[in-house]
Amino acid sequence: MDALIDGTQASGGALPSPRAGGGEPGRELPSLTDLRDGQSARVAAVVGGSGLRRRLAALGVLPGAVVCRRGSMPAGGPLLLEVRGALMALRRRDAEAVRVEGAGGR
Amino acid sequence: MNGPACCAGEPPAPARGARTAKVAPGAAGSRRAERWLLVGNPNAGKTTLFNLLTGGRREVANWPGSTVERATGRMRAGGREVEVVDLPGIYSLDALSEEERIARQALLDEAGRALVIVVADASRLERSLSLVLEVAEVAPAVVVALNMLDVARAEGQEVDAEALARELGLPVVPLVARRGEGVDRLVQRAAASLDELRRREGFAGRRDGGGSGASSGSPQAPEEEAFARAEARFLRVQAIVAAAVRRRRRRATPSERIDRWALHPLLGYPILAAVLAAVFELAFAASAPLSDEVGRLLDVAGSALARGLAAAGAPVWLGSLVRDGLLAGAGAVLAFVPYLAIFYLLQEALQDSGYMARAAVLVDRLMEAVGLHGKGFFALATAYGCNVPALSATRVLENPRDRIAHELVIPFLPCNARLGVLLVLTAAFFPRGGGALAFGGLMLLSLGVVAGLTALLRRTLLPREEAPLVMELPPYHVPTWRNVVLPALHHVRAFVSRIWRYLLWATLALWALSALPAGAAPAQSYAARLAGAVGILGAPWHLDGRLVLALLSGFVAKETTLGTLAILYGSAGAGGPVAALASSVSPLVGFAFLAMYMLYTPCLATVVTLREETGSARWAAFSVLLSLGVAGLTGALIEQLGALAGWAL
Repeated sequence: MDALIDGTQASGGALPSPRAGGGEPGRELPSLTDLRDGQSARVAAVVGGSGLRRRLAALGVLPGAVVCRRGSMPAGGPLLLEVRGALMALRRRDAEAVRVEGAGGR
Repeated sequence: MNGPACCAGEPPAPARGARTAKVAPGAAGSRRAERWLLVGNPNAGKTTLFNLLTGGRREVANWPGSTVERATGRMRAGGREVEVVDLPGIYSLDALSEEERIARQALLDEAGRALVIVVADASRLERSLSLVLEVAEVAPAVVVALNMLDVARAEGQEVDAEALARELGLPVVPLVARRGEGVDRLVQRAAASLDELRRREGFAGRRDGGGSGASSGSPQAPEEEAFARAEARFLRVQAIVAAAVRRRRRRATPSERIDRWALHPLLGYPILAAVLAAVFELAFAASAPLSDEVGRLLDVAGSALARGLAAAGAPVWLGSLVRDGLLAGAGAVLAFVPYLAIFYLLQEALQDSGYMARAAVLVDRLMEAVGLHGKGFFALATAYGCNVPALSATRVLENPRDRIAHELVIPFLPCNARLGVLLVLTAAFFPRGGGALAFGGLMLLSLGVVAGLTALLRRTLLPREEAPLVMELPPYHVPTWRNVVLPALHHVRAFVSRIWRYLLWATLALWALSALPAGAAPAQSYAARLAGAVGILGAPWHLDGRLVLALLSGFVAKETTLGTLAILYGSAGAGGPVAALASSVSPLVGFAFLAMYMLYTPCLATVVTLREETGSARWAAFSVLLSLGVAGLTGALIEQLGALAGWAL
């Protein structure tokens, strides 16, 4: 947990430059897939359809939540994420929908 | 015995399903058994607590209009008669999944009457508390069972239950459900809360209409408002956690240390392979001899009975009916039991230990490539043992469309019984080598059909769902026997009680075909005559009536195929029926027959289970037609291509 909290305060993590986005707020921000393993960031927005947003919301993946990327499976497999003290996996295509800011950590 | 559990020992008037209306005022006296509802996140220990409270005696039915299990049990607490209801494990009351809809509706229907125990996982407190707050919005009597304190402590978190109770404004009882600690206090506290609720509400002043109607009847609030509420709820949760949890220096937990290996991007795979190999080796090593033994015992019993009947002067056909009809039918049912028991045990143990979730993550990329999901991997692997437990294993998939996609492809994976027949027949059709190649080809063919069919289904009937499946990775723990043995036994019992009628009648029909008219030689039996008649069905594939009949009888149970072939080919010369069979068709037609045998309609038990698990006879019928179509097409294609390549038909 300490690592997570530190992670939100540090903000020097190098992230790919923000991409040009559509009209939806948060589209221009980097997503969980842009984090490196071990990096934490704060969720800024969850973009995408309502089914996806509702399921992620139920798991506490909401703006303001801190997410730490713990690892990833090879060949484009799911990401391992720590959210609100629990470990979960999310497919990359779904992780793409979670836009983050203030990345930091290891 | 598997009837609606909700009616046992109850006055019939008030229907109590999840979607039934509220009980009429005054109908429920104070003598009525009270009801406690258990709610919680998946893996929070809800079922462990349920087993502790009820002694593990659960009555299981489905929630009305769904395939979600409704488990209830009874307990006595200080002279009170309590019915405990285990609601499905959920993360929120957002009605996105069927489980969530059911839990939400049950809470709304019972508000004002039932006590709600929310099982909170102290090691993943934020997520649990969010559900606690949501439940407290709709239920007036809530007690929080704070479970997994030991796990939280191992992770360096000290949760102060009293502070938590103050912050929540709800009673909180610490619990280590796996060791049964704290249960008595929980029961006392729950009983006190319910008494208090009753004093407040009064027996006359029911909450129907105004009270709960406001929340139950209203449609889902606009989406953005719901998200705003969820955000506000989690903000409040963060404040509560800040006040009630003290964090010491964070240590790597045992689970994290295991995951360094188990979820390693490279080493994770050989570990998975080793675990699966061990599990399936155990399953087959333990179950195959047991199945054989059951069959042998029934054989012995059948012969003894038939001899007894003959000695008593009974006609020959009666002895044959008892031996080859009744006892063979019982055998067809019982042959499943060792497989099912062992597969369900292993499945529950893997699930309860937490490793199943890791396996799902490891293979998800591979499964995703064919339109399936990592969570369905174990179901598909189980199918090679028996399709029946494989179908129930798809329940871990939350989205109905995902579940049906997996359920439709499972029958194309040959179960152990089919594999056994395929092995024997492959050896017979390819006596001069090439058998291994043919068998390998069959296995690849079945995987190819699964991949091709899923791709097709995803583009047509079952497009991908937008909501991602939840792949939570709970901390590992040693499975408890209650969490493993009880559900496994329940599955086996449910299967046997569901299936025995079908299998018995089907076996009797088969017996009648092959043993009647009484005293006739096998060549004159109805079966032989029927073989002549159904021959026309097999003509497009160059199959004679006997092979068609073998396929038809395989529908009852795949194990019977060899027996049927033996009867039909028995008189056809030296070398035994298998040699007679092999010499009657060319290797090409033989291979096409094997492919069709592998792919065509799964056995009766699978169809009945499909109906049960999809909740619809239409999907079961669709699956039957689908497999017949796929088998027919594949067989024709093999023969056409083979003939083009110069093989003899």
